[in-house]
Amino acid sequence: MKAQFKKFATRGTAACALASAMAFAAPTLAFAAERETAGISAILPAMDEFIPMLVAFLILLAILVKFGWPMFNGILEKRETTIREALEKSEQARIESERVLAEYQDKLIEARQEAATIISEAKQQAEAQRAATTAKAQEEAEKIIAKAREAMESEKTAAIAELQASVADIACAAMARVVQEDFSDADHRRLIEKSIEEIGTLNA
Amino acid sequence: MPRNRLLIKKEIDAYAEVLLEMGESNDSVYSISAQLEEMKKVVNMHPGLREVLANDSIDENTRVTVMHEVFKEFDVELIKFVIFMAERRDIALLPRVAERYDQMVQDKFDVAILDVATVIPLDDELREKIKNKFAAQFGKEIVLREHVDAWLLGGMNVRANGRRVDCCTATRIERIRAELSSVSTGGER
Repeated sequence: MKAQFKKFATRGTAACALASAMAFAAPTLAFAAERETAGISAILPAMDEFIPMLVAFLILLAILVKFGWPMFNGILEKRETTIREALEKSEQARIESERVLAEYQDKLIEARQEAATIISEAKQQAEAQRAATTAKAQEEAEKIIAKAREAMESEKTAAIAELQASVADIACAAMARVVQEDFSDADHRRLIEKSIEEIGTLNA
Repeated sequence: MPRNRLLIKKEIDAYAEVLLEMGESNDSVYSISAQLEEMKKVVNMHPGLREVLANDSIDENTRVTVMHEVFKEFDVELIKFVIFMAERRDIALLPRVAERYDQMVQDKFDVAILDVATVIPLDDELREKIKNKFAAQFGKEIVLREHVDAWLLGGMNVRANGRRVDCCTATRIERIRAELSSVSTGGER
């Protein structure tokens, strides 16, 4: 690149010299035109003007090559260095940013995976919890129903037993009252005689 | 203070023998038996009476008066005997003394004492029927101790030698009541 730049600079210098020469020559041509010269001599510089101008040009060129070119070259090299460093820094920044991006993407993927795992576990736990809660609620409901049925049966049985007992009490009280109030001594005597007949042994 | 079982048994025997001698001397052997049976029941049913009998701070005359009030028709000698037992803090032995007395009477006179409870007093015909019924069972002369108890409602209860046969109407009605109470409805369970 540097070589290309030098080549380009050399060409530029040559072009510049040619241009300077033409610049110096132009007034001469103008003057020549003014003299209204004809033929090839019309385009050729006058030697008396051309040589000093050439000398001046060469001196200027020498000064430029000696002093201007190194300065110009230094500026270019500094500029090149700056650009190169900037490019290197940007490259490093790009690499760093790519690294960070890759790292970030890895972490992002990892975070997404972790989040997916957490969500999955949470769903499983929630499902298990829901199933357990449902089962427990079902079990408790069944227990409550069974207890209620038992209590109902128990109360029903107790009520029936109580009713039976009441009926029995009333019936027996009525019987006892009939015996007490309506039985004569003769009736009691007959009962005693019947008991004597039915009574078992006492001397077992 | 706890006493030896053998000593208590000897004490009961002594009380029963005294009573038997008393009954023989007064010709009231079976009467004493019946009265002892009644006293036993009454004393058992009334803890207050037991307390009065056993209370030393109450003089003997008062206790005799109380006993006479409670057991108006009873033998005076028997009442004094029971108070004597109470003074010796042996009133709790009265049931066992009565039992032992009956045993001694039965052994000595070769009889079987039957407690017969009825709603109405027995007449001679019924007594004879009962005696005949149980004489065959025991092979002995039967002596009846009669009790009138309206709670029986009808029929009779007989007890002898610690065994009891219940043929009273109250018990029959109670059995019917129990059966009626326990009958299953046969409905949906």
